[in-house]
Amino acid sequence: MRILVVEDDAKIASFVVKGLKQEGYAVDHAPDGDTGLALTASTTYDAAVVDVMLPGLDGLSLVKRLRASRAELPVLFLSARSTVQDRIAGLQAGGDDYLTKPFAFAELSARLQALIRRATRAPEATRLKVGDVEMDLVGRVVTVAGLRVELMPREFSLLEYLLRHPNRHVTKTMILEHVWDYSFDPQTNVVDVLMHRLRGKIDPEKRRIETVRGVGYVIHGNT
Amino acid sequence: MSFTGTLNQLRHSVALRLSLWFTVLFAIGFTAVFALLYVLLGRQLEAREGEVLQLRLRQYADIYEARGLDGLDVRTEEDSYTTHGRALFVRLVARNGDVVWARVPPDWIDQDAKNVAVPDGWGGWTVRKIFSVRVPRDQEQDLAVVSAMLSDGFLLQVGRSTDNRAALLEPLRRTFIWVGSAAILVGFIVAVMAARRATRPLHQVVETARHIINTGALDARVPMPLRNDDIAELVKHFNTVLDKNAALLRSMREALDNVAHDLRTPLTSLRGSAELALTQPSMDNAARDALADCVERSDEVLRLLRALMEISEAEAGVLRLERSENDFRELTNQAVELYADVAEAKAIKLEFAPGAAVPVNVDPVRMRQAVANLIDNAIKYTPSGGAVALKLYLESGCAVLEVRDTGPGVPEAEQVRIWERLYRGDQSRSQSGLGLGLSLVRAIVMAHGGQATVRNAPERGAIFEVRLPDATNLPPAK
Repeated sequence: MRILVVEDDAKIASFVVKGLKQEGYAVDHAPDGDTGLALTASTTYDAAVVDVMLPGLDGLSLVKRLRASRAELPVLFLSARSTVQDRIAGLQAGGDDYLTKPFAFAELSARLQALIRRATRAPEATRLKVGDVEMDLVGRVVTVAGLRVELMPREFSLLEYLLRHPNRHVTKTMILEHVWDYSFDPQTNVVDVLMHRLRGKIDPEKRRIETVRGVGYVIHGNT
Repeated sequence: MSFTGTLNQLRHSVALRLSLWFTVLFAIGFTAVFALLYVLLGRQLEAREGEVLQLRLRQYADIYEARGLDGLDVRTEEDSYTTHGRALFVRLVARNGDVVWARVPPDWIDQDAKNVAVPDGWGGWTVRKIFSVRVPRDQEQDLAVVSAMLSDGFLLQVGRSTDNRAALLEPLRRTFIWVGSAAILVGFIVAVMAARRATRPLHQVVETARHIINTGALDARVPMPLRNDDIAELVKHFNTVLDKNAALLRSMREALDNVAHDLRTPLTSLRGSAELALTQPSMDNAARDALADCVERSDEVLRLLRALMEISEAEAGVLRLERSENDFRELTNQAVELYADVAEAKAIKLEFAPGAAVPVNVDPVRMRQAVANLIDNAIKYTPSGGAVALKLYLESGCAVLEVRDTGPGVPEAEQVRIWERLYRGDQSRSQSGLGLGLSLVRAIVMAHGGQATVRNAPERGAIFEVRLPDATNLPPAK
């Protein structure tokens, strides 16, 4: 898997490149739009992360040109602008997803993975299994170590989201968006409360779901 | 618009007032000109008639002098058969007033006989007939009479009924009635049109100002009037003020955007580097804690930055709202759902009984956030075992949301201040949060043209109220 990162801010580019390499991707970095466009002409990528505001050729124009020549490459936009208009402009230019700065790396990684999965058209699973936690999405049944557990709809939704990202970090923002369809931070941490309840039902000893302070949660498959 | 509304608008319309004044003046002028014309024409006719009669009088006098009474009789007989001209009344009167001879035109009532009792020479009464000549038809018609003393001492009188004049002037009067009213009507219509035309730029100024206030569309301008008059100057200056205003707001928005961008970029890399380091398995706990602090603090700063930006933008009136038709009930329900678990964990009863749909034209994301912040605030200040109850209803067109808690309430002195930025009442010192939640609520509600207030419940706790203006009368979503 080869990924192109087009980002002019050296520090952001550095942690994104480093993080993606850690996840096992091959990564190329272009500091401006023109270099990025030149790289896409010579190399085949599986996905691109493109900052909207770039010196020279900006991100939107870059993706428009890219779409004119090669339509397949999934593109994730990064932007410091968060209004709906900006988001729409990004998607209209041919972007597949749009992430607003500041973002958690875990979220960038999860969205990129989703884009690549969508592009390769992997079939949707009907059963999820991580370690001894199993979920039947059709029958909406959850078993832990073979024992059936009754979950409330929101608990089910949270667990499903964790199971879809095994051994990966999932941030509170991502959970908020997935479970409640919310895109802002409520002041009280509603995610903590829900996680506490879910843990009480499937993981009282905190072996399966790990809390990584400052990052989020990981569900481990090797318990 | 209702009838009274239209009436009210008309009463305040400069155009209508101008046209009414114009019409009144026009009517007065028109009537005056006509009256003058009428009088002059009447005089002229009278003079002409007098001349004609004088001419006849001299003719008849000459004939009488030349050929005597018989000659006059024959001549007047002949004259009365001529088709042109009106028959004349001619008579000879003696010095003592007795009528010697008379010719009365055929259309006059010749003789009006009346039997009158008069005393006779023998002390008794006798009935005699009194004859009088009456002017034809009605009394309105005058009699024009000229007379001349003849050489034998008789007075020759020639008269004519003036219905000739009346016959000419009467149609003129009638014509005036309908021509006059038609002219005044046309004058009024023309005046209304002209006044409307003249005041159209004023209406456009008002409309544009209203549009900008309602929708925040700063690019709206008043179209320049075609003529280059003083109203055009007003429009020009008004547009210039709008331009300057828009430029100021634009630069302010850009400045805010730039500040936000300049802060977000380094914070993103700070947060990203720390986050990435945290995912490294080989790390001692002290470093891990420090990095986690970095991430959490930068999240806090970012949250603060975002809230401050939103509040500043809303207070400056440049907050971009993505308005659409929404059911307030649905938005409230979603916010309630978000806090359902939190409330349960704190053993607080979170109640919301959705009633009928409450249509509002709002930015759903922001309004939901405002409601969420109110619930968050209520839960924070309500002790375990208490209740937070939400009530949503329509009151005279306004959508009203009440969030009632069973907390300690808000002291009267603080009821205004709690909406201020970063203000925190004494009781909340121990609570977490940035003190921006309620400011953000107020900023969002005010950006929607609504009001956010707080009061204490008579029994216990505070009631926060959000009131959104007439839901049905909002401008369409832009």
